[in-house]
Amino acid sequence: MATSRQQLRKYLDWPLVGAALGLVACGIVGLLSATTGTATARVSGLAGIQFLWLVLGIGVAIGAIRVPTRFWFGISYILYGISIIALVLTLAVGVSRMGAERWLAIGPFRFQTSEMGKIGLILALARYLSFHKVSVSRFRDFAVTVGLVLVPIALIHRQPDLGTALVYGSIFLPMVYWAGLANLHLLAIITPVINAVCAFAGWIPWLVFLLILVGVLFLMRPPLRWTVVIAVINLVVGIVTPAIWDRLEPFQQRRIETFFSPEKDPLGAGYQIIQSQVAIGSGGLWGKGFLEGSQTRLAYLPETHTDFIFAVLGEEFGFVGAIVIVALYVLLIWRIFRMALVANNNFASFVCIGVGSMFAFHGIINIGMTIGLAPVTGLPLLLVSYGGSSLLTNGLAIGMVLGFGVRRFE
Amino acid sequence: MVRADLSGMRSARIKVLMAVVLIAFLAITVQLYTLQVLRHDTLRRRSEQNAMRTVPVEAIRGRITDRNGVVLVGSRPAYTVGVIPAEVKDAAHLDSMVCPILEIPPGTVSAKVSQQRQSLHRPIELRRDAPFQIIAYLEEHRHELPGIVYFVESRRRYPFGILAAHLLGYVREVRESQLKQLKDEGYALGDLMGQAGVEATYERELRGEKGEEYQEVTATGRVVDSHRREPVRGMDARLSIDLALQQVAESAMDSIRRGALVALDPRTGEILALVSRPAFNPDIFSTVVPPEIWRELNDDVERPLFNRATMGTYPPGSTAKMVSAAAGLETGVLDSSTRLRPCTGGLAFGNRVYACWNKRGHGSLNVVHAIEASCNVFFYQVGERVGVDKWGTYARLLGLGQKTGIDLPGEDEGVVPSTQVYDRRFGKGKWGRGEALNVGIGQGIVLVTPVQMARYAAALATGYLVTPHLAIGFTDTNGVEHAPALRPPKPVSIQPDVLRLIRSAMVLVTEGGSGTAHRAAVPGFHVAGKTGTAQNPHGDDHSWFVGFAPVPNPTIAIAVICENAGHGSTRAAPVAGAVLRRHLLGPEQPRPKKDEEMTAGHPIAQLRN
Repeated sequence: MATSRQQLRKYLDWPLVGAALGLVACGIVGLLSATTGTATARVSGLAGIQFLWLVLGIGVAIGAIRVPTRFWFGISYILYGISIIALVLTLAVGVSRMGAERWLAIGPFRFQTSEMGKIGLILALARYLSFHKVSVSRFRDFAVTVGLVLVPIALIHRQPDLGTALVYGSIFLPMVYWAGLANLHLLAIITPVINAVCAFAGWIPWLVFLLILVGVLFLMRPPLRWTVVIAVINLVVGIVTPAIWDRLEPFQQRRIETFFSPEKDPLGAGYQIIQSQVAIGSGGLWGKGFLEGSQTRLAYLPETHTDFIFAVLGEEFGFVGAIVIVALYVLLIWRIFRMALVANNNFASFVCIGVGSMFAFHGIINIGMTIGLAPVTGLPLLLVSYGGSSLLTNGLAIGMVLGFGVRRFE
Repeated sequence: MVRADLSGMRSARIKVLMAVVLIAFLAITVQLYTLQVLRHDTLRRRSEQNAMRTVPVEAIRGRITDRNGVVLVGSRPAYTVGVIPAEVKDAAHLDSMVCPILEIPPGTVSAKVSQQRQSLHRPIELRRDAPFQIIAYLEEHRHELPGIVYFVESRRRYPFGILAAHLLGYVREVRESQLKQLKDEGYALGDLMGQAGVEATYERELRGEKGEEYQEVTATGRVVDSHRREPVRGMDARLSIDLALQQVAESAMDSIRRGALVALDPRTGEILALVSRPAFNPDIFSTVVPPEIWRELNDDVERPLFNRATMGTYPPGSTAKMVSAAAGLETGVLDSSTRLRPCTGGLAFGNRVYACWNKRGHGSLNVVHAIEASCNVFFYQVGERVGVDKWGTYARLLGLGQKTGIDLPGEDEGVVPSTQVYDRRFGKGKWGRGEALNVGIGQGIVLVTPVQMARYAAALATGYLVTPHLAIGFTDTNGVEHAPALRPPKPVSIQPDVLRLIRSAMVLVTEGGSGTAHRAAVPGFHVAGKTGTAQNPHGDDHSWFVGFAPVPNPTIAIAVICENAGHGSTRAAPVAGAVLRRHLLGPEQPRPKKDEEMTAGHPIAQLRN
């Protein structure tokens, strides 16, 4: 079942390859800009390091293309187990960076364990959901999938990394949806989340949400039992939300607060969001030009090489450049989702949905954050932001998806 | 669920998933369009208002101490008010608001702002050493005064006031004319820089290295964030000056209107005391010097800023008679017992009579007694026999007519005669042999500086030419003292016997029956000396004394000149005597209030003069 060279050339999804390489190229350009002449020794030279990671990441991807699907299937639970152990180890002996313990040092390497954990979760969920006897409509089976995702979330949540925990959730939901979760059940899961967000936002958004919920329930005409369940869940969330709020880390509270009203604290936590929007907006249609972004140059932008790299690119390459990145992201996600439809086995199909969702969530939340549409969660723009572990993991994920495509007619 | 159902459900659900993604990215695109196209002008202006400010953090300038570590020049923090050209919106408005408060000439702000063409984000000093009330006012009115900033700088502190002002020198703002060549070394308009004395010579060591504070500021001038590169403190310079001796020298020179004193260690060239009169208070330079004071100091006929010890050139008069003696003895014109024509109060030569200072005449003398009694007639004859060129050669051997190499800026090299010099000055053949007679007694065109004379005395004392110097150590931030590189003493190629003979004659000057410098004597020690009374075109004679002590094994060589003060034995010799006594005998009584003066830097001390 070895993949032949001819088969590879014929069935490799070149648009997906192009989108991924295009995004990585944007990342290198952005990194060069973010690390040139900003007078912070901490980041200078990162573009070169990132290039090395990129070479490694491409190597991992090429390797992953040739790996047979049943190998991924075989190691899925093991990988999941390893990533859980790694997360536990990170909690116990992790290296602290910027106040968050997300790094595990293995010899000279510091590995961001939650990155690998995402792949482990995707594979484990894919394997379980692709088992023909499993049905997410059955409570017991559904509970297992929830358990699979909650364990790593619980471990990550304590690190503390709210953003990454949300990514796990965002991988889980499309995958169970793909497994055939009833719309009504989905509603029961999603509404409390939206409910909680609206409750944070204030009374008016919350009332609007309630009205929409009532409208939707009216249109769907669910059985009474489900109407009651959804109503009760939403009520409980409404009551519990303030309690959760009190238990959040202060910086998380600040992030949520400033998300809703960044102008309230222009020199503190809202600073990043404002400066990022100023940077992107000042770029205009065509941008200020490579290395000409004053917001970046003058260090008005924080974390330009990681979380806010989109703002650097938006400032220097304008609306046109930003749209190119958005288009590449949409292309990337579309090609991965499409693979879920054409893959020749159910396991591969689930993996594609998981990987595609991961990219979609990161892309939407990160770009949304830089332009004031999403909270500052500290999620990187995958393939574009600086980060070695992230590039390796994503190279693996894309290589896996490409491999499913190559072998789809076997 | 059958397989067909599954694929049917999935082709529908993939559309839902893709729709969610597309809606989200569409929202992103709309927001991008809003920011980058619709709100572009507003946000571009906003980004232009954002400014990164780099405020220099001055390094603390190194201290200057005496040889025992007593601080002669220290530093103290002071507020400096400045203006950042890039942030000024209305210079005229600032002129009217700020100039009266800062007590600076009207229009200074706009003048300084228009002067600065580069580094517009760097503050230019407007007022140094601003009192706290001014700072409080500025802080209160920050919003009305965009571009005005203040920061802490170190200001020079002089615990002993005018003491050693000339050798210490002063720091002053870098002049615009200097700035061009200094820019590479990191100087900016308004920076303080050593402009005279050791402050100038050792600018590099004392200055340290500026740090920088990078401040992110909003349009209102509020500092949002800052990070700092710490400055490196300048090195402390330890001078060879002995504070106690310097104080004695200063007070001995207080009675002298114009003059200079240099005392050094003849073995090493270390300057022990150096005084120039009149003096100035270096403290006035540590803040912005009002133009009228600057003009006054510069135009003063007494030239108080002028360091006479190294820059003043004078005829040496009789103090140069040792040159004549050495030249005569070395060239064979004389030996220790040679008696030239006896002194009858004058010497007829050509068609004029060259007078001796003693109208009654000294009679017949050998070289030793001629030095003791400072007989002109004897040395006229020596000068005539040796000739100007030979005399000049020996003067050079003893360090005259050349820079001593002292570590103070602007040293003069003086003039030593030679045929070429006379030819150049008077024309070939237009000067007579009579010039040689004048040279023999240190007159004519011979010119020397006091520091040359102190070195000359040291050379006579030891047979070695030393390099006079002030700095003997620089202490870096780690507390390690580095000694500066020094030229080793150079042996004088004059026979030891000749020097010994001259020394014995110089001892007689302070001790012998017809000696002229009894007032420079120190009980219990042999002091070698020579007075001089130099005629000059500026008025009364200059009063000189050069000497060294104790004989043998001298530890101090000294030269004193008192301009237009009359006879060497009455004015310069007593000054030298006071210094020599302090050096050889130690304090006459416990030093009064020295500690108090040192620690407090009492203003009264600065007002002296």
